Amino acid sequence: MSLSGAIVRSPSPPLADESAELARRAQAGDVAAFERLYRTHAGHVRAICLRLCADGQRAEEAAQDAWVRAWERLSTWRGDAAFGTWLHRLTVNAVLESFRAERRRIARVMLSGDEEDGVDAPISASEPGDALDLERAIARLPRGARTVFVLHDVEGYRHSEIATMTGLAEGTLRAQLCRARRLLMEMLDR
Amino acid sequence: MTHHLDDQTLSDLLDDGLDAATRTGVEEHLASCDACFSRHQRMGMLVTHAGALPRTMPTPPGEWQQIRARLHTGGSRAFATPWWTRRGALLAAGLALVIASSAVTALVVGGRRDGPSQTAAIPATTAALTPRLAALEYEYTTVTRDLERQLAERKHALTPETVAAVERSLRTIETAIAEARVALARDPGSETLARLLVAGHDQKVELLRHATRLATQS
Repeated sequence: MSLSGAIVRSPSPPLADESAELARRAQAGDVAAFERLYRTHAGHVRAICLRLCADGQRAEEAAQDAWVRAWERLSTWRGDAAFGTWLHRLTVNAVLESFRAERRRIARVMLSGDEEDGVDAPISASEPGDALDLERAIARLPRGARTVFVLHDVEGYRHSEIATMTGLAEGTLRAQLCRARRLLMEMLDR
Repeated sequence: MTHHLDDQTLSDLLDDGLDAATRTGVEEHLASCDACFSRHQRMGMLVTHAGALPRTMPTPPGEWQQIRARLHTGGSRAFATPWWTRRGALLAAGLALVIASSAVTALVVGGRRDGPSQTAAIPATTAALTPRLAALEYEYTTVTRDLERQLAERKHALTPETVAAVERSLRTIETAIAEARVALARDPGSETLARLLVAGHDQKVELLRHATRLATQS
């Protein structure tokens, strides 16, 4: 089994065409068209935010930030990529930026600390026999491993794309991905 | 290959991340080792399940209304509430930085008894900072530049008084940051100065973010 050449799952052509037309209208300031874009893509934006943040409140804030940013930067969508793909990337970047902001806040109070993964949620030990489903197990991953797993294995980004988005070296990404898979197998085995 | 394969190798195999020779050796091992074959299969199933997770999730009720309220749709409207009440946070940020700036000045001047203070005039470079601080400064600079650009685009939506308040606060913050950097260049190991520098950057980001939000809502 190989994931090589994994492709980010993109919307079907009719949906992409409709979104492109709506996006062009939204670029001209048509809020109703933007609302229709929201109705079309909100579920996917929500899924990305929730899986990356692993926290309902934070995911809600991240999704709102992503949509506001999308509105503000609509002029940068040129139509050479599907609107959904552009929005997807923008959403991931918005979430990653919020992670970086949190790291800065934490660094402010623990400058002398050398714990690189300081913002990771701890993996809480579950009770023996507590079978976790995959979504819940992903939410329990440390943030670094979760981010890479969600982007690679769930959303289908390539290592090189994730490296660009996160600023991590590909070797680090592979290690984080392996760590995520190993931890998930352990959690799902309990 | 007699030892069991490690998880990194199995993970890289799934991602086609092994060179041809290594891959051949790994596949030969998998053909003869039930334990490794089983683990590889389980990891592969996990990846398959992850790729099959639902693409969408239900959105919280009222999300669009909240987003809609934050969209800047062009044109400027007068504030519905007095700008003094809205810019309270700006003034608070400015005041906090005046205090921080004074603290840095006191630290710097206190450490130099042989002449007048030239703190604000001496630009310190990030090269004088620890790698960790330099990396933080780089991140702050990236975020700040983006926020400044957004604010510049929407400044017209703010009253002149608010713009002046923001600019005054920013100048205070930037002075505090500059002073902290100069002080750190002289005393790179000072945890207190490092915290003041980061606090200054944090204040600047928060101030710009708040001002941008005000401009967006007005």
